[in-house]
Amino acid sequence: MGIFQKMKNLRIYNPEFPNNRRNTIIYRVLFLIMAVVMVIRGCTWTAHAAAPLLTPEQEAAIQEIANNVNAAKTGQVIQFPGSKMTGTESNSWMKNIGTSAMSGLGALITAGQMASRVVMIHDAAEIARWQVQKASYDRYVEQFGENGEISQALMQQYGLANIPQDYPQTMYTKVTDFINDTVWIAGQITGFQMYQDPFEKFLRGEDEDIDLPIKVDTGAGPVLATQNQKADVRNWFQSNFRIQDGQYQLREQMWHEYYGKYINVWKTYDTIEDLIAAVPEAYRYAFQHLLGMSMESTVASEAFKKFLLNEYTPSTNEITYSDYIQWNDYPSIDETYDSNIQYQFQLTQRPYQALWKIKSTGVIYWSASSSLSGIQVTGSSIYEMGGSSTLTLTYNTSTQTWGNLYQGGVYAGGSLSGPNYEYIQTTHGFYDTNKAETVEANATNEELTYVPPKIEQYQPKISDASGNTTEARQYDPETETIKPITIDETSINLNPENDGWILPNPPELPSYIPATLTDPLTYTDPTAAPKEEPDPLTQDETNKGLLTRLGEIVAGIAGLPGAIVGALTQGLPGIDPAPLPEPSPLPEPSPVPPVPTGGGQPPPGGLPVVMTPSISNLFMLFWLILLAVMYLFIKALVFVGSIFAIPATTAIFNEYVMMGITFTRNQTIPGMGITIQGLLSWLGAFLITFAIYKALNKKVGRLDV
Amino acid sequence: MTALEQLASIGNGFVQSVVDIATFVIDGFMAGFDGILQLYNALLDQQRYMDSMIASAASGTIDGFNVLAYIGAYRYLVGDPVFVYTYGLILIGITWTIYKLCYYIWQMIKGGFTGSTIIKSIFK
Repeated sequence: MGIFQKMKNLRIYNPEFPNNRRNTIIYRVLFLIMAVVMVIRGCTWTAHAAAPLLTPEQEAAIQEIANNVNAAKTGQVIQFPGSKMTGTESNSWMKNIGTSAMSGLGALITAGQMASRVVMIHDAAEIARWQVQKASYDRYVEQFGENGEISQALMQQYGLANIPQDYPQTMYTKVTDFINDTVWIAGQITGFQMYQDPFEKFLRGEDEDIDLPIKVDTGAGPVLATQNQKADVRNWFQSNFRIQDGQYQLREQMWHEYYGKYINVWKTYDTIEDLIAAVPEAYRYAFQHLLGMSMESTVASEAFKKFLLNEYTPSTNEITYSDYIQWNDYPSIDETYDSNIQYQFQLTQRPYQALWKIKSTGVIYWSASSSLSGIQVTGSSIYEMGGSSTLTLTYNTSTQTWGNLYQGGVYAGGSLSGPNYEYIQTTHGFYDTNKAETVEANATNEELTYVPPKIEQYQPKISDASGNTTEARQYDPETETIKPITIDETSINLNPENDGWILPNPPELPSYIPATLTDPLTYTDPTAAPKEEPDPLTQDETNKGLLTRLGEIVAGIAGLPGAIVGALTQGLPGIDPAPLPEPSPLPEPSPVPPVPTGGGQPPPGGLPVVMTPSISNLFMLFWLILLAVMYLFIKALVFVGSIFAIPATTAIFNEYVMMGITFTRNQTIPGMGITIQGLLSWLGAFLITFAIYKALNKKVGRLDV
Repeated sequence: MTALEQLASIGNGFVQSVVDIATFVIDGFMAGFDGILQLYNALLDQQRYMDSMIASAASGTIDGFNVLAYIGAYRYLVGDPVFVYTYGLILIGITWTIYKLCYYIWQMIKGGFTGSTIIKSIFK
């Protein structure tokens, strides 16, 4: 007895499910559905099994990431990305720099360079590790995209089992924060140590050798301003600020109806707060962080007033800075990779102290010194496990002047080594601005040479509703042409008490207007970001992916017969009728043999075959037509299979129809959190399902005799 | 005109008529042949058009094919769920039709190729 007969008998003896025709059809339908599901699942599994999981490039990237991560975890290999140095060479190089600084050669190095190296030395090992991580991340993004994920199995395969699955994103955030913080600190050190008056340097444009970070609120953390950006900021303030009759004025550009052109208007502000509020945000940020002080205090300072009045003379007393640097939250070594050493660095006011808190699982040998004469370093040099120490630096103010500090810098460094950490070099530089009385005597008092900024024409632009900018143009009656509007570089005093504006004299100050106000700082106004319309097609990517795969499978299955037939027939030849013979009163005594002249393998879709009319050719033609119909039928099946790949398109709708459709589809039903589009779509699916069910039920009921 | 000439003329007319009939038949045959050729080439054109349409549908570019554009518009308007339902129904219908065709052909083969069995198998 066969299995099917057994099943049939089982159904026969089931009184609740008798073996009638209706139940038979139900069985068949269920079996058909099950078979379809199994076939689809089988095809999907086969496609998964057949397709390679990773490309060779991706596999190489994974391997590289694994190597870097494991190396960073153990701390054995440190290599700067892009450097040909090995890890050992890198360590040696860092040691050499530290040794040079400690032996006094650092005095020959400019303070700015030294400061940048300070940070490099200080955290060279850690930066190198982080940079390796960042390089790994970049490599990962290159292969897998920013939102790509490594499966847990793959990570285990490559020894990355302990790395969280969101490793790329987490690592990127950590690396970016760390590097930005490090760069920020480097800038702070440089600024404090290099310039007795950064404002002076800033005005002179001599700050090329520093990279002060500008903390633009773009969400990306501090960014470094380029020299061009800083020059833009500088020129903007020199061109757009002035003090007239003891009041601050900010230049604005306004369209003058009478003259039909843009003119410069010096607008008076009652309070500094109002004036600051009128400054574009990007420049406000820039000014604040370039000068290391708040906009409010800067504008209120006498130096700034003198600067605006062109009465500025450099003096080191006018601008004061923070009295000391305090880094309580100095970036510590990440515990993930080396939890043996934690430290804090803190500079307090006189006496100068560098406080080091060191924790170690072993004995750490510590030493500190300074290259500058007169600096005394006190403190013990060997610390036991878990101990901490205070390193105190003092100097004799009667013999040391600020100028010396400026030239040589003050730095102290230490080296520590221990069983759990091969080498770390820590060095910091600082100075105290409270020593201004000693500084002033050595300060440079040469006059500032005021270099007028370049005069540039401003080309106004017109923005339409969609955000597209075009050059503003006006009609020129003289030449009868349309020309771009250019800014007239004249100034005008806006006097609210007069009806009209006072016509200006020739400009007092050269004008400089950047092309766009946000360019210099890469500051982007969040409100100006283009609104991305939600794409209804990408709302359910998972379903879309599955459906697309299903469509590909169906298309592939449907296209299989066509591919086979196409391979067999290699296309059907096109046929041209032979030129009709001239009508003759008598039939041809010997008709031309009906042989196709195209050869056996005509190119598909190429030159047609010439076929002369004859009975045999007619028979062949009928046969070809039969083949062509079959071929067309198969192609139609292939086309049906490929219908699923047709994307949703709006090609047949014009923009007005699309506006209406989009508006309607995106309407959200209150309280339900669903759009009209989603509601109609799923409602239609439900209705069709219900209709199919009813039709099937009706059909089955009719068959139930 | 003599009688012989008249007979000859009749004969000539008869021959001419025969020739005309033959010419008519031949011309008709050639015209029919040409028409069938045109049908065949039209089928080939449809195949090429179908090839282009299949390639466009597979690549997602629907430029120049109104059929694809309307299908895409339907998909855009009704959404993917309804589109999948529609597509599934079409596939089921086509598959069912092919099954029935194969079934009839099998019935014909099984019952012999007589006209009555063919008619009965289809219109029973």
